[in-house]
Amino acid sequence: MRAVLAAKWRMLLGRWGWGRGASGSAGSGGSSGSVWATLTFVWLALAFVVFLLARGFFRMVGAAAPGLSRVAGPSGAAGFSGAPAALGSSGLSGAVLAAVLGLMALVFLASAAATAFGTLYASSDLELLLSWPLTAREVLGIKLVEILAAEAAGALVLGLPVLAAFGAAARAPAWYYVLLPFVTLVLLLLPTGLALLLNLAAMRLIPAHRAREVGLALGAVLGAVVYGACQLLPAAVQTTSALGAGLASLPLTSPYLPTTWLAAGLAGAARGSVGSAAAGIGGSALAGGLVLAAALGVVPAVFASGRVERWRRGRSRGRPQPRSAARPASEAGVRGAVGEPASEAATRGRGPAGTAAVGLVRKELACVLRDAAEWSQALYGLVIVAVMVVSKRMVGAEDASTFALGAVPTFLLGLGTTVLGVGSALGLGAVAREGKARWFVLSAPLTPEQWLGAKMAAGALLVGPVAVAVTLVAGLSLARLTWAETAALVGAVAAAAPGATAISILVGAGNPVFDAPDPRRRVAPSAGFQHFFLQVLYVGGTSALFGLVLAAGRALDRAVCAGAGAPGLGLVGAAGAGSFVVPLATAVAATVAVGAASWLVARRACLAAAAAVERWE
Amino acid sequence: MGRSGDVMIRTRGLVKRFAGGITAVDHLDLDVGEGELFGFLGPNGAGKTTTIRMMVGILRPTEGTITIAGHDLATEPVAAKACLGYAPDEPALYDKLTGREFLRLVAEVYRLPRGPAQARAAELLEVLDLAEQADDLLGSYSHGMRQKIVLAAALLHEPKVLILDEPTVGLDPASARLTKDVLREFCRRGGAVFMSTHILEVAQAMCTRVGIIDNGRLAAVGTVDELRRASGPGSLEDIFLRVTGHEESADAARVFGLGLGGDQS
Repeated sequence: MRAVLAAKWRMLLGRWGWGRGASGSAGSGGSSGSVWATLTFVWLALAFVVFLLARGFFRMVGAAAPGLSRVAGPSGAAGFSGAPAALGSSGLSGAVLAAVLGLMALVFLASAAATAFGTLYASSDLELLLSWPLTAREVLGIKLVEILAAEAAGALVLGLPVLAAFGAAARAPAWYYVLLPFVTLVLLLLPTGLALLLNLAAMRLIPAHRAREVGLALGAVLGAVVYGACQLLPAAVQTTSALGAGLASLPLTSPYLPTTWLAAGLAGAARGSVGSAAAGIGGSALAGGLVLAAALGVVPAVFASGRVERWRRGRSRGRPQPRSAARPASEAGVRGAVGEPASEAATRGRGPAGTAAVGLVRKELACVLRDAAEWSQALYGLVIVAVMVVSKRMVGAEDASTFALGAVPTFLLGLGTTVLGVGSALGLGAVAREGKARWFVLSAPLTPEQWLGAKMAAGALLVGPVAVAVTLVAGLSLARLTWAETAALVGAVAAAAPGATAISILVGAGNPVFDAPDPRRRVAPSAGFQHFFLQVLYVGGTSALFGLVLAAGRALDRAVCAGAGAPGLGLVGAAGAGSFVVPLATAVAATVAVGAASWLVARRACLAAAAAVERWE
Repeated sequence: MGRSGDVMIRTRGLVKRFAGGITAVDHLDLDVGEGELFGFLGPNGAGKTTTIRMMVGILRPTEGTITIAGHDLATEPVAAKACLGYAPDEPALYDKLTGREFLRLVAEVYRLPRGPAQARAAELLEVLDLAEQADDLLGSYSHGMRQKIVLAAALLHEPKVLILDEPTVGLDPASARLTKDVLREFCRRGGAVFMSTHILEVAQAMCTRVGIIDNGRLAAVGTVDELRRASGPGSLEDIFLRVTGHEESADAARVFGLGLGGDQS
């Protein structure tokens, strides 16, 4: 086990760029020494930057929000209140420290959960380790050391400087800094223990072969939430005091959380109170230690009986065995294998003409909707679009007219963001999604146009509703549209979606990367520009067409209303007593015009994609 | 030339050159007749899989023609492909479909009538011992189970020709036996099987004729007895090694020459 740990340690150092320097291998001492020095400098510089930023933040909050000075201790009583004069009369924002530590603990939890999953359940060396003469507990021990070592780096660069910054801002005594390595470790214990337990629970609930997809989906959603928070926070929090108040009001400052106790202990240490420091830090360390001990107590047993046992059982049993002896083929279902000349009938086409297309579309939808890695990217794109729209709305709340869009810009915005976000995620990689299973469509009695057409239809079914929804959200939140414009918008966007999807599939067919497991990497990188250029042309062209039809409708509406002596209805913006025939006809005409353009583009793209498929080797 | 009935697979002057000028298949002429089980043998990299991939329409030949059940693959690809069933060497499948859904897709792509296709799929799943896993995702199938579902898919539309690339690799003995029985029965009923394999014992026991390809060229073709008469006595393995010029066997003892202690005694 020690040898394995030593090898792991060398690998870890190597990952950090310290391997050669640490091992002192001959022959490359000069360069490895300089790499080691450079990386150490970078790490120290990073930690120093974190320290400076955190110190500035604590000083500003302390000066701007003196009312946030109390941190509740384990008993719910005030943890600290006095503060150095330099930080304001009422002291430093201790509640803010509790929130900061809580946020840091959440970051460490997310990081440790990902590391624990990668180390315990998805590591490439696990089966190798299990085949060696090591007990399951020893294997787990190796993995735990790996997790802690990997997380320690983040704690040293992110955690320690922040704690030191708090001390510097609060002019803490020297012994405060002596405590910091221990406090950093305490800050790491609880998230690591929780991460182990979370992984254990997740692996019990989620089948192993789906875990990566679920993780990817959760990661994408988490990323979208963080993106949303980053976009929306500046609009909601305009001043330092508002930020401090916002942080202090988070549930992370609850007096029942160990991170709050740790904050109270640190605040006590900062003002020289040994008792407060011991109570806060000790309480937090005890809680963290208990969670880690629970994890270490439970996880090995379940790990050994679950993952390891499953693997061992699988190894001892080998591949699933047939439950019954093979029966003579002639007795069991192979009869008629070449009885009636079925292939001739198949050549003629015994089923309905659209059967193959329906089957292929159904297959495509199942492959996308059952694969979280596919739709999480689309979801991520959607959340970003929604946040952009909402944040613009928040920023322009006082002057909504600034963001009042017409129907054509809304069409452009809705279709453009959808095809470049969701359409790219689902359409560009659609052909390469066949992966190694492409032998099936290539050897089946289908023309390339048939199976590519089915892909385009399936893509349009996926992208179309999203495009309509995004356009409607954008239209309702940003634009001032009449009912006729809204109807025209929905119809035209739905009609434009197939063309946009077909362009994505065409580009994907010309540049497929069949071996890429990640849906985002299923086309050659150079295809990105080509795709962007073609989509801009398409979205711009259909927008212009849509705008022309609307303009013609408006002109006709005005002429009709002027002739009848009534104000225009719908398209010109003001509801009146005029006829609704012209606006309705305009909406239909816009949809038909855009739909015709879309159909032409999709047809041309299908033929071009089929030609690209013919060139595959 | 095929020995029994009509020619089901015919290649004439088949050539495949890849980018960089590598010739994988070099003027291959082959006939496989009705009811024939043809074994296609050759060393690694000889051109077996390339030939098969051209026969099923995955690769386009650089030169030459392929005819499946009388349909030219270049000019009537859909008709030709409708007559054949194919099982690749690596049974890659759609991981997000269940076994039953995959067979349904196959039935739809081959435009089989729904009711009979469902019944036949259920029957094949039962025969191939996949009935209990039929509603599991293909991503959870083992290699052997994938091989069997691919065989089921190849048989589902009752083709005239089966083209199989290493069909018994990765199968447990019972499944391998079942596969061999299925192929024999298929041929007995008039189908033609074109099968590549590295397992010479299987080829010797099952195939009515064998062809040996080496460096893209057909080095020998005929029944095992005909090959024996042409190239000398011995098993199919001996004939294969003679034809492909690998008669000199490695000195296996050298593998064990060095002990951990460096003792060469």
